Amino acid sequence: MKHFITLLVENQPGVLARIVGLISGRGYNIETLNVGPTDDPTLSRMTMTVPGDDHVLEQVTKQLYKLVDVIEVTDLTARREDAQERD
Amino acid sequence: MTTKSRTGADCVIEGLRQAGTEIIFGLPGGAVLDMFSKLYHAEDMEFVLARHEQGATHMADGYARATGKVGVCLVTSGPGATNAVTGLATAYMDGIPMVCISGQVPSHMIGNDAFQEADTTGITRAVTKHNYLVHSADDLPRIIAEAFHVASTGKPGPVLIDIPKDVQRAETTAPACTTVNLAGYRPVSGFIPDQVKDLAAAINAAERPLLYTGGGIIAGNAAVELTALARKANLPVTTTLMGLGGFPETDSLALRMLGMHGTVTANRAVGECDLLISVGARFDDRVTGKISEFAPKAKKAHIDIDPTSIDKSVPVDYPVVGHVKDVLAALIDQVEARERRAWNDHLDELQAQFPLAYDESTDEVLPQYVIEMVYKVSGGEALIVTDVGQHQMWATHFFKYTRPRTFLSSGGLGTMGYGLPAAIGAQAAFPEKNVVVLAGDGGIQMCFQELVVAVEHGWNVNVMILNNGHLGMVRQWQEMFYDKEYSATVLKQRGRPANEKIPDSSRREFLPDFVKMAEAYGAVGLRVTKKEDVVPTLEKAFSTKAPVVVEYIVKEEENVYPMVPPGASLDEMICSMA
Ligand SMILES: Cc1ncc(C[n+]2csc(CCOP(=O)(O)OP(=O)(O)O)c2C)c(N)n1
Ligand SMILES: [Mg+2]
Repeated sequence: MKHFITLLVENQPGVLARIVGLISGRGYNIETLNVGPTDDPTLSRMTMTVPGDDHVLEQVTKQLYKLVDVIEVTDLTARREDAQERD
Repeated sequence: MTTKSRTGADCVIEGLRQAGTEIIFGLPGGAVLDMFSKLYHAEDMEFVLARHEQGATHMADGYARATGKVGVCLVTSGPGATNAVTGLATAYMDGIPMVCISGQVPSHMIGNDAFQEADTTGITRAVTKHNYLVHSADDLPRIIAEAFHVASTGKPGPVLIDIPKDVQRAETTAPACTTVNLAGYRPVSGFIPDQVKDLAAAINAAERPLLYTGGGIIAGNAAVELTALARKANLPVTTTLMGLGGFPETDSLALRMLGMHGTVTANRAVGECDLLISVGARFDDRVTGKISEFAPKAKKAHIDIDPTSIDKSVPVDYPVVGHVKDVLAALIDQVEARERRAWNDHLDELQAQFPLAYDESTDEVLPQYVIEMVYKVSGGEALIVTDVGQHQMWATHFFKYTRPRTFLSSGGLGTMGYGLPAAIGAQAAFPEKNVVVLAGDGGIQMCFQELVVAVEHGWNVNVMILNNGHLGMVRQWQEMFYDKEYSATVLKQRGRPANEKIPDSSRREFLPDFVKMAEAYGAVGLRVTKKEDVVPTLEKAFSTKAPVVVEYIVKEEENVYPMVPPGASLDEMICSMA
């Protein structure tokens, strides 16, 4: 199943590599990835879609949260499903 | 207040000093000369010159495991940093606090394939808890302080700081950093009282509870609380390799190690328990065997400081996120002091029925016998550091650990070569302790060169080489699962497989000559080939005021039992070849 993950991260070189490395190192493919600025110039917002097993992606999300440069991780998948059911 | 201008290299020394660094392990090169030139004058910090950066990292690791403090190492760019990778990975897998500083080529040359350039932060990203490439000397005070904070809090781990040469030389007026503020790093503090309450109720209701404890007990300094909890509620305790020393193995509640080479009683207890309480352990595959059949009758609880560790491989009924020391202290108050006579008696009977054993009647020198004699002759007081292989497993069977930080071993990565340098790091911290390395004839050769460090500092490590002429643990797998085809596992000079094209000849049966090697490095070298010489030689080694290397020529094809075959469930233990 497809996971939509959004992250708030430190705006620093190497952060993207760290995040992508964590996901690809576990054999998952990132389907879409978007990085943009936030109101706070020291932070960036990342959004990505990653297809894969729920249990493992839950782990990946937790691991992402553990990265020192990652401030916030949200898996939007559940919310999108809710929205689709309501549609 | 303005801060005096000083160089990046000065900031590094300042930061190390502020973090309480007493000793640094490393080896210099062009990219770190500026820091070494400052260290030359920093007489409050001892510098230990390793002979290989892998050795330096294992020394820092051994120092950290023995003391609980952050181990510090310093290496040059390129090959210095790549040589450090194994040591970082070893520390990372076992959650050992370490700060490794590496030099880097000047900023403007990064990416140019400059001499001795390596993408060190790229290479070490997956084997460190965090790493930094420093862009400006202004950031150094903050980064050094952050590195020590990250390395030593939460689940500890190694942090690497890569510092380009120009940054070391640049002037800065950035003030010393006294408070760390990392938005994305908030290690767990406290715990949720309801989680503990639910677990306490489950323990009180359980008939056959079992504590399964790991390295978190050691890292979290929670051995006292664990022991008090177990004794109050009569909870039997089994420990992982990393947890050894966290609960006294001489206690009647101790079932000793579980898992692939665990005791019959520990593994049976896992199968029979109705509540399994994991404390600072991570359900590693070497512990659980076939995961779907692990503790099949039990509700499972997991206490851990690392939330990602919970539910990772095993679904848990009672998760408790928190520092093990605090959680155990709270549990002690909430569990009932109650007897569990039937369960405790049953486990005692199993222990009597299935003791860890070896053939005591043989005249051959058995490696198990040597280790048991190390236990007896040292009065159980030695600090044991192992390498990796069969001897490592026997070290868990035939020496009983009663205190934390007295058994140091590479558990997660299983790094051959770890033992000797880690022991040197431990001995550096405790020059008066009896530090004993238990190593095989294979792994000892991977970092043997560090012996000179022990000799020159007068750190009197006792190195026991159990020479079975083979890469024993791999040979055992070949014997059991690959039709006894000893491909690439014979170290002796005779009987090598045909594909190696090594002719039998009149060469010495064993090469190298470990006694001569010891002597070449300035240590005392001894050899034991007869059983009756084991005890007197140990007595001699332990009373010698110099590093001693003892080579024991032991029985070759001896196997470690019990053994759970890889991928099998814990109740499929093999107890002998017969
Ligand atoms: C660096 C490294 N390379 C390879 C291995 C795989 N390995 C595990 S145990 C072992 C044999 C160790 O032989 P020895 O040091 O003689 O110890 P023994 O098992 O004979 O006691 C090997 C090769 C490893 N753990 N580490
Ligand atoms: Mg061997």
